[in-house]
Amino acid sequence: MIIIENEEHFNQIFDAKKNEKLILAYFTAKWCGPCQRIAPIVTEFSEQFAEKFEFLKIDLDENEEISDRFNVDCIPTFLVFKKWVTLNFFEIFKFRATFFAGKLSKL
Amino acid sequence: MRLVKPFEILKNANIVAIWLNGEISAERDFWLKIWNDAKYRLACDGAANRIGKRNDVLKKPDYLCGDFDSVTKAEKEKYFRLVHLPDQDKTDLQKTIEFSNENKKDWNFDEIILLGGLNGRFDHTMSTLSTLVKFKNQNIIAIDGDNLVFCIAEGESEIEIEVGKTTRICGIMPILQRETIVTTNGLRWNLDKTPLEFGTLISSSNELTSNKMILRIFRRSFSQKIQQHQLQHEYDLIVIGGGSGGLSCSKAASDLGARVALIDAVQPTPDGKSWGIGGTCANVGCIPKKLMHHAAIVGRELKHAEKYGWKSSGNSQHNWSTLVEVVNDRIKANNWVYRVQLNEKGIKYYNAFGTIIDRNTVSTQGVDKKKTSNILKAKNIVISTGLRPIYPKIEGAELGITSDDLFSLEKSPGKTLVVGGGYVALECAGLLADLGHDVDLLIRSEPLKNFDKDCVDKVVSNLESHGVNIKWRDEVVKVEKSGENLEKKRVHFKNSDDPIQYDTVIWAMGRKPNISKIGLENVKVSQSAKNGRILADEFDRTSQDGIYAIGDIVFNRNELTPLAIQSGKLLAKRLFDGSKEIVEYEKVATTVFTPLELSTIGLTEHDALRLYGEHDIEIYHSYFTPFEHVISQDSDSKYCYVKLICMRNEPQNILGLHFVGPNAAEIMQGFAVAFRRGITFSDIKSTIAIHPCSAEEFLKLQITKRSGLDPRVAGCCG
Repeated sequence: MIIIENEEHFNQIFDAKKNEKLILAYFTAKWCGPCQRIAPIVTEFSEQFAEKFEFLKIDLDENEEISDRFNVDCIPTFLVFKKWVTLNFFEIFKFRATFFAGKLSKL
Repeated sequence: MRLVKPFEILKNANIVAIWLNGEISAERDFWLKIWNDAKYRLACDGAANRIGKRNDVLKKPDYLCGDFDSVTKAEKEKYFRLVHLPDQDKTDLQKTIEFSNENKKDWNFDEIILLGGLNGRFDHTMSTLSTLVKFKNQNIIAIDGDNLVFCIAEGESEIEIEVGKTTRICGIMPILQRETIVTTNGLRWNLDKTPLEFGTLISSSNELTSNKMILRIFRRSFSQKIQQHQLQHEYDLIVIGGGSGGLSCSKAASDLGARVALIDAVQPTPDGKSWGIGGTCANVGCIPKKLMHHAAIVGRELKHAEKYGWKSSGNSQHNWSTLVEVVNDRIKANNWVYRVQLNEKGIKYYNAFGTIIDRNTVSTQGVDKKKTSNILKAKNIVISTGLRPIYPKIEGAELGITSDDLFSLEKSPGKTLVVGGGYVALECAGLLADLGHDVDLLIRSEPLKNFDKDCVDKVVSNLESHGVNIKWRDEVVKVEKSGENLEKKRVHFKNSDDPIQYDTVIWAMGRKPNISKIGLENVKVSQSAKNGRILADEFDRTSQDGIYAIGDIVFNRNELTPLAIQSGKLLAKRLFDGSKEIVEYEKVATTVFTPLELSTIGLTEHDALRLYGEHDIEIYHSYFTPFEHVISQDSDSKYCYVKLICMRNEPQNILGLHFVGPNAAEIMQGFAVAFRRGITFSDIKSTIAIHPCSAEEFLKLQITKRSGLDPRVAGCCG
């Protein structure tokens, strides 16, 4: 899981990895209860699906411009990209690990 | 907000599909699915010929519509349902859509899909577009070749897309022959109140980045046309200060179509504390205060739990750090929600300090790492920078903290001295004592000066019963570092020889206006000689034309969040909606959230006596025991009290209502609505009470001060 520091960093990583793998941008914040609860599960997935997905962790407080750009208005939010195309946009409140894993395996 | 879901057509079959006469090469495979799944299929004149040739894969149209000048006789013969629409002033397509609309009730469709119509003869393409505009308030989508086209009318629309099913490429083209102001979200190159105009600027080759696109489209109606080169940094309204007033004004103005810039930043406290958007209330005022006040109440209830039959695990200790963490999580979540709202409404947010250069110009100094600065121009400027706590002018003042620091203090405050006599001081002293800290409260003169004195006495006595040690009529003259690691504060008092050592000193001695760097000297904005606040009239106009001020920063206004919010809203309506409405500053209810709360509306006894004289007013009062304290026998019940002030003679108009007790704010809010309308004592007496509750105490009032009878009530019912 790569922790994104700012928009430049994001663009850099994105351009570098977009042709290799599917990119999963994971928007989170320290003050968000549900985000904290699913954090260990997402870390697990980033390892489980490491071959196919590049997980990018984007903290909202550090990365305001990126969240504005992708219109993130509630968290946790997961954006899956293939090259520059958004394949899927999950806004998950009641996080079901099996559901998420299922979706990822199908991509 | 209109919701458009163009991709629903791939799932939802509740559509009318109209196949138009067009280029064969532009037909696509997925047309088959859309056509065959549609609820109703209409072939537009000559299209029937094409469909007839592919009757192995395409279902037969339900109707053949048009003036029949293109369809072959043979094809026409196959149909049982022909709709001849001979009107030559309208195109076949228009007539077909109108025919569908006539049948809408029976057919009950959600959308109309046009297959074809954009490729081939150019005049046909333009004709299709013209038809989309004609029916812009209906969901009609044209699909032809690699294009999916629909028309969006003025206003706010949210478009849900499945970006994965597209090439991502999109364009937003203004199709009316006048300048159209567009704001978007969800595109790679978002528009920000950008004027689009055919012949000047259209948005082509844009890219979708999200499954949700928001479009805000307005005609320009109240400010001058902007030169294309001045697209950047020119606004209808600049708001300096993003607190209760500033946020409210920005949002209301933006909703009315104004192009708004909001400038907000926080000067860190001497201890280095800072916070996000939302101003004092959301970050270091009302919100954290009330959360902590409630935490204290929970603690108190825990002490009584056993009496109700709950098995208690002994004395509950309070963990300060846990409380600070959850409170600050809520605050940060709030900051986020505000940011999202600003974004959605297309308000340009600058996290910066703003300085007024002249009546139309503000320069910003960013607080970001690059410290970006900008020059912004606007027709109107609103100052809503609010207040900050005052530090005393004594040696060691910097060793004390204020309410700006208290709610995010990492370490428990420990033995605390709170200095001040206003609501901030009393509320902080109260909640800290209830959370288990050793608290001294230094009140120099009168506590809660503008509140009813009888009520204040009870609140103050209650504070003492909660363990707050009040030091009356004294002042701090010096503070110095003390203790083993110099982490404590030794405080020297004016009227006492012995200094006292504390862990924390909190200055709550009043607030001063936040105007040191906003450039008032560059314009003709007058300030009060008394306290530096900005002078503004009832229309929020300052002495400088074009510059307004709202919220705590304005002289002689009640420093309350709801007032600032209302001011902001109405100012926006006056500036951008031709409204003449102003805020009514009288008859505003307010509450002090001391451990035992005090709420009030209208005149205090002192003011009523001054205005009308003892002979002409009547004061009803009563002590009461709130139901919450009946079983617990909480000593707070000694101090619970209601007072009603009215005119002595009929119709006995009510002049003021005061309440001391739990949930005082909830109790007073409803009465505030009635009070503003004007009520009499008989209105109160003739209202049937809700029972049992504390609010009904107002309805049970019988004893007047004049009678001299004891207002302590025995028993509760009857």
